[in-house]
Amino acid sequence: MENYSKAPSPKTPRIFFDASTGEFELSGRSIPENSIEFYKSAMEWLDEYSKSPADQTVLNVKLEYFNTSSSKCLVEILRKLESMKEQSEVSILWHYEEEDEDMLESGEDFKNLLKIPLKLIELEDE
Amino acid sequence: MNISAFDIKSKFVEFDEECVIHSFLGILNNEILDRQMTVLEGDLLDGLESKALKKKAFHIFVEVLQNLKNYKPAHDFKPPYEHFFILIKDCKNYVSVISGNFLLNKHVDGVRSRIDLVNYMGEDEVKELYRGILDYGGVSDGGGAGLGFVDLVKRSGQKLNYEFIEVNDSISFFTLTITINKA
Repeated sequence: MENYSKAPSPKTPRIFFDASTGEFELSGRSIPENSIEFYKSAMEWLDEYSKSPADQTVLNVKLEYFNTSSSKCLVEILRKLESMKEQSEVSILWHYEEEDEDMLESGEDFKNLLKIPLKLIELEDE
Repeated sequence: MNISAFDIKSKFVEFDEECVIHSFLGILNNEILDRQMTVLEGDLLDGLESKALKKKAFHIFVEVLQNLKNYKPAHDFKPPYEHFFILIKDCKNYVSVISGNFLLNKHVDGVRSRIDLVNYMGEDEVKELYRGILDYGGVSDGGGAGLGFVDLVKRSGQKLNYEFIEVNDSISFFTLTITINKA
């Protein structure tokens, strides 16, 4: 299966899902107006991946901002990963910048909704 | 209030006073909303005290613009009701984002009750409601996530100030003020 890759733009994040290693990354800004359309192909890719996932699947979330419509898509992505937990050791690493309470709280919100490990990781200010 | 008595420009001027760092009054269309979005990519918010405050203000500004965009396409207002305004203030103790737009009278009660509900709730209740909506999934009637006002209250930590002015039998003018305290 081919990897999934999307280059970042001022309104959309970088997405890179490595099918063979199970290393996934979502980084940058996610403020598209039509989040459902934007994330559609990533969801479809995840559906395929879930049929035969890597032994370990680790999603690194390094988002600077995300809008409310992206938050629904993020839940859906995380739920898809959650559904693979029998076939793959799934975990989420939620990175947030030091003093960014909103992103920390968002991480806690998602952690609260999921039954897979979500680790909150503070990034030190550059 | 009737058409001749309501003037968006005078309403705009009421807000466009001290500590305004950005203000815009114009036609509400996708191109202009997109252009407003790029305003923030410059150094407009660089004067804010902290990166966290800057991020909060950015997020709220984007949400407000996208809420306007979500509302607009389904209700194509004709002149003189196609205008809107948006402002950002950086005052000594707070930052605020203020928007003003026309909406149909039949939507007033729904918007008012959604704002009143989150304004009435305590911080923990707002958080619970947010998580509940997130957990429930799907798309709201407005085409968005259904999290709009909840997110604005949760993020700003303050109640939303709003006003509806009835312009005529079918249209009202809606102003919304979101305040972020600096302390």
